[in-house]
Amino acid sequence: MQPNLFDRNQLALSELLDRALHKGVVLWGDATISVAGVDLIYVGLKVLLASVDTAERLRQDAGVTAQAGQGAAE
Amino acid sequence: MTIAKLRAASADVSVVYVYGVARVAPGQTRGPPRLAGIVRQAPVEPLVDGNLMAFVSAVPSARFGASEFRAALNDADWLRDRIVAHGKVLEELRSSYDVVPFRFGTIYLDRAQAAKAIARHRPELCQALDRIAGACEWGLKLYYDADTLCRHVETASMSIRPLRDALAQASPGARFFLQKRYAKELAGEMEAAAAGCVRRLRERLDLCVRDAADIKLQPAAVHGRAAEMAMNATYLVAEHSFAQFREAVADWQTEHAPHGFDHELTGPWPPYHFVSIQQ
Repeated sequence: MQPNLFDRNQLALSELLDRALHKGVVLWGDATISVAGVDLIYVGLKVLLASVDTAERLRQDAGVTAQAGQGAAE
Repeated sequence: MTIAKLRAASADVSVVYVYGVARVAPGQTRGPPRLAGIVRQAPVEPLVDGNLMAFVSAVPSARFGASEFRAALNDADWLRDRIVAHGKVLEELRSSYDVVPFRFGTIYLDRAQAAKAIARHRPELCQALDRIAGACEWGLKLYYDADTLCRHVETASMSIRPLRDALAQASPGARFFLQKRYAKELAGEMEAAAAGCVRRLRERLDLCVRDAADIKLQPAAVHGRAAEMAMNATYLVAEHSFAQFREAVADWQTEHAPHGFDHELTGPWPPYHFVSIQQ
């Protein structure tokens, strides 16, 4: 995975999944070739996020957030 | 034609990925700043249709065609990078435009078809743009530490104290039933305390936000904190109201932190939760 904006924070990735896969405008047209199936991958990705090493990183990130100051905007 | 040649030919064919839609400002001639799109080789381009401008990328049908994209969704690493790229494009556009974000994976056959879909929903898109003008989405999660809240409720609750005193003086036989009653009462009081605490913040935030939406509460395996999640909400906040919003949250934190409460604020996000369109 390439370094990018959200890599540093798995919590932000989880937040992004809640939004970009679940919400946002869907315009069905005659020639919409996708969007179908996107809701289905959400479940799979949540499982991926909760996988062993990711869960460990989630805990570490949560620890860092708590130490860095309670509830700081990210 | 060999299979290899067919593949090479289809790699040249592109489809159109749409990130979101903004209003074209009067006299505006410039497109978006040069941005990398959903895949690195596909820059973000404007697609103007009347008073609306979509942000799109021409992407290879070899990955984004109907069946190809569905197959690509099984590649978790590739998918995660694409979702992050989608979020990043919208995040960068936010500094220059009010953008109605599209859901990840909105793909049309070509620019003409994308323009047609946008034209057909022009009134709804304009209404959505009005709703989100000058505002961002902020995610707000509230947590509480059960042990700290328990200690607070044990000393502060008027219905708990007499029970505890009775328990201390009870005979061993009466103790058993009193203990059960005590545990039940305590759980109820804790739940009421947490709900009241959340309600007080919600009521204050309602005064300074444009809209609010609830997200499903997350289990600890997902939020990763050694705490209970008491609220998972997201707010549409106008830029000029943000200081007030932030202050309300900070005041709440100061008041309730001693009783085990904490919050987590994320954003600003494109207003994903506030752009639903009836079709």
